[in-house]
Amino acid sequence: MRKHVLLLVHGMGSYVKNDGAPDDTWFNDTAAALKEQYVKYPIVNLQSFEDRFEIVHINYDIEIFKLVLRWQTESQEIMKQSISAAAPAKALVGWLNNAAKLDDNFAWTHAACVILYWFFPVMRQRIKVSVASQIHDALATNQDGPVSQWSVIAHSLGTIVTHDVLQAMDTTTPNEEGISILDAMVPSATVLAMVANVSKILETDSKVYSGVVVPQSLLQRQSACFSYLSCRNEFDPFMRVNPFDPQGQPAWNLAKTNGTFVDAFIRNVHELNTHSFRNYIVNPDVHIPLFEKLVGPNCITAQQAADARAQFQNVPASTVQTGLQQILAKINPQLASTSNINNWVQLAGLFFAQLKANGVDGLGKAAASAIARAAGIVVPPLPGAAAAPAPAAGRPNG
Amino acid sequence: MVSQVGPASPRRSTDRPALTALCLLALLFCAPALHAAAPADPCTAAYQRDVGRVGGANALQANNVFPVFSSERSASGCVLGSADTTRIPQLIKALRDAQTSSDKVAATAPIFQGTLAELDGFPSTACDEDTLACTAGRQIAAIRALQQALSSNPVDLKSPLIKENNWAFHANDPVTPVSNAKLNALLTNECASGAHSPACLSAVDFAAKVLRTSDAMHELVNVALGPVQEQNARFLAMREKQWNSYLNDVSVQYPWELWINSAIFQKTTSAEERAKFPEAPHSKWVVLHPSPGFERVEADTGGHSTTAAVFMEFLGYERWSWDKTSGAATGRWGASVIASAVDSKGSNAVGYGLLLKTPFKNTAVGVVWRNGDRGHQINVAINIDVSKLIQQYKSTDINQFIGQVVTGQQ
Repeated sequence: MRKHVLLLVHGMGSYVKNDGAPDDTWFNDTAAALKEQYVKYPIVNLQSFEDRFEIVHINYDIEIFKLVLRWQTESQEIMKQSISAAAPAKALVGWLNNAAKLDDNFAWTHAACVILYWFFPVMRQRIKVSVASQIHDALATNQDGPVSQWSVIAHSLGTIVTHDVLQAMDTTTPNEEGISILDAMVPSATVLAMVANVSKILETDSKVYSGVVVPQSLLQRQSACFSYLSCRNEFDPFMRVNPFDPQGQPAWNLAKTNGTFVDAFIRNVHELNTHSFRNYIVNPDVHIPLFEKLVGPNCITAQQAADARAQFQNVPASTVQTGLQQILAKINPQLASTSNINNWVQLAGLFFAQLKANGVDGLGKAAASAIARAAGIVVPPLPGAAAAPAPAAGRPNG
Repeated sequence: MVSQVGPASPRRSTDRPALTALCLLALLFCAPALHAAAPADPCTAAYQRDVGRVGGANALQANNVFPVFSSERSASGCVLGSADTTRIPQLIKALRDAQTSSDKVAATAPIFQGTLAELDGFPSTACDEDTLACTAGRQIAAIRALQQALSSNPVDLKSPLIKENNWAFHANDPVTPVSNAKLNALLTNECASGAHSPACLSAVDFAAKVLRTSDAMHELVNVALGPVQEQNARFLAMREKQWNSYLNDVSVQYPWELWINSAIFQKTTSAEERAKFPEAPHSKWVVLHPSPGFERVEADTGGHSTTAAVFMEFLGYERWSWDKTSGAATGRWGASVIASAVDSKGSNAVGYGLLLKTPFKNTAVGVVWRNGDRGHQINVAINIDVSKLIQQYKSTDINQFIGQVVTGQQ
């Protein structure tokens, strides 16, 4: 019998190595973050994490990287030429010279993937087909039989990619019988967990509240997933612009009532990068409903849930608010005041630029101060002195 | 493909008519008696061990029983896994190993027989209540209905019975749609008097049989849908090849070209189609596209030399067809109006011309009109897809590419 297939879909950022091969770092970190919470609950942990789940990495950044690498290569070849009359051509492509550089290149590694997905429909189709093929391979029947349980955990940009791909896989019927690609292969996903759900602001060809990627109770036995878990954090800047919030949609309200839709709206800052997967999954209000959906109802007893929530070191809202005011001042609240994709992309760039600038009056400093104050640590006055927790190193992926 | 299966086997429950009749009169009270008469399911012993692992029967509420039980289902392999002592796993293995349609049909009948035998001894009246006995009745009826559906000729693959979703258990709401077997509710009810009570163990035993029989039917449904899965897989593989070819094999599109071609794609493809997996475009526009190349230029001394050039394709168009079997772009042709910039003594720095695109390694050949010290020149120009070639031959020098292209070596 097959394990529960758990598809992880990454967000914006860099998920390839310099040679274009997939970089599994985020996927491994995400699985580790999930397992950290998993082992805390005895009934959940009756079956080991590894025995219960077959983790599959869904990587679409490899396609984005292929494209920007071609741009970079072409650009570099043109820039090499010493022909003086070629100056206009060089001016046209010079900005593509570092398109595929992975380190310290936030414009390309973070903003570009959002821009390419949203503004370039042909690239969106390329990514959709690539992701669908990966999902198809993961869910196809093999020598151990068919998949009877599968779920998706998608993060950030991965939420809209997952939505669009599942919508396409569950409505495309390339056979005489008229049976969709998903329906012919597997039952509906057990749970679709959309962490840092940006699918509403980035929706394109299909609408996120009214397609087939909705809780089962909206479309009896016809939807792509049984349960839909949407997570947003008040202190995640990307959740400030047109978040996924189907309030006012009667069917979604009903789904919330019957438990097939869970809207986890949290307030916690446990990492400098409040947009990170780990900053979400540490919160019991995120991982408890997720495990309830993945493992079964009441797999976490009421007492265990109450204890987990009581022990959770949630930074007091007032302290977080103070710390975040500094961050939001940098990010320019006006950007977040309208439901505009351009603002969202600018927000992405600014957020990660601030994140990179930790220790120098940036996001890291502000968030670290907030956390340190909540923990009762004396925080040196801003700016200048070092902040308490170590900042996120390397490339902070969305 | 499963097109026919053998006739339904007579149910052995009729071997115990007195017990069955009694059950029909007192459905709720019969389960423990039935349990006592039958050997325990392999999942029941595993469940009892697990109750101990999470603190004993007293530590569990009735509503915690289902997740404990269902964890064991796959952890120990007691449902169609290594610890399943029924003969169903072997029968399913035989089905998976079957190569031909007739082999598959032959392998299907014993699975129905074995599956129905699992529920032997339970009443077969499909009543509406959520009791153990009524649930068994509905499950048996659903299995028989599937047997009937798969034995019809032709098989109606759109039947609700032959739908993956209708046999699957979702951990978060364990109900089989076709038989409405509400296992979580059933276990919660039956285990109200304790996680190790006879009624609870009976219910666990029964729940294991429902899961096993449902999973076995899911296997059959999946096999029946095999031909559809193959068609769908071929379609997706074709789309994958087309889109890969469009963006990675055909000559590169700069961001502004990608935007323009995206806009055309958006305008010419309906929203409904875009939300699915549309075919990749059959053409593209080339706009303000710089690329490195070479031009055969007349020198001021009168001879000719091949010199590096940078072309600017002002406007061009390229089209092709998608091969129905390989997904490759075939019959590609295209042309562009270009300016060519060179540094060559005796020639103007900029010339103008026409480039014809070929499918061979994305190369393009053309002519450039250029003025120089010795008057008007008509020169041959060649352009190669640098990025594509570099990807292809990362360790090879660019000048070697050109040599290969010019000499026609692959």
